[in-house]
Amino acid sequence: MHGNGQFNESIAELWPASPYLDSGFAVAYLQSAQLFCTDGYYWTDHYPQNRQTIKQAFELIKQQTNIDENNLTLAGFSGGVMASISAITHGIVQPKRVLAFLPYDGDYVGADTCPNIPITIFKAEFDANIDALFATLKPLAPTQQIILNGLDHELPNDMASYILPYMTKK
Amino acid sequence: MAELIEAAYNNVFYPMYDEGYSQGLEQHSSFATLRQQSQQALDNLRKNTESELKLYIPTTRFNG
Repeated sequence: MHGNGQFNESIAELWPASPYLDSGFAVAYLQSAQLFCTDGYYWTDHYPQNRQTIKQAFELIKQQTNIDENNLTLAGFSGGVMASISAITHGIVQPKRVLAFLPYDGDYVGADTCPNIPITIFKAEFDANIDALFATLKPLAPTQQIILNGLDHELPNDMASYILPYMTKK
Repeated sequence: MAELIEAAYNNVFYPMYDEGYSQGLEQHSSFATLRQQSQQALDNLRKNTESELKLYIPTTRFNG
């Protein structure tokens, strides 16, 4: 899931699919339907619609591929993962886990508990404080926070080294 | 307040990180009007399109 102001192509450059494909995992990039001027696509302008976009993508992926439905990882950057967190805490989709890179605080979290969906938040050292988000999620889902040292609001270069250990965890 | 509004139009930034300052400003009716106008302008720039899903399937072994 791309961040606000990005496209599928731009996130695929920053977050290439090849390490996951090489490890035997299918990879899906989902682009929001909400174009903002010429500045790219946004996830955080209309959460109800974007939650439905995520739901439709899950259904399409399950229909079109022979994937293990019980081993879906929902991962995203910034606005994209904020919409993802919104979707799971509104009971819209039930992935096996959520890997949340650099979400911001906000009033997008629903009230549904998700005790079986662990959320790992990767927070950049110099990014905005997200204590309120962490406190909101803690009672809803098993949530942990990992600090990305030396980074601002940007993805680390070696994304796969953060993600693959979770995907291969039984 | 007039000075603040003019400053906003001229892209002059005031210390909004100062909580007392920003709260006082946000409660002012002129600020609320400006915020509404700004939101409306942003809404006009948004456009609904089709979402896009790009799916890649591994060609060798397949874990899921």
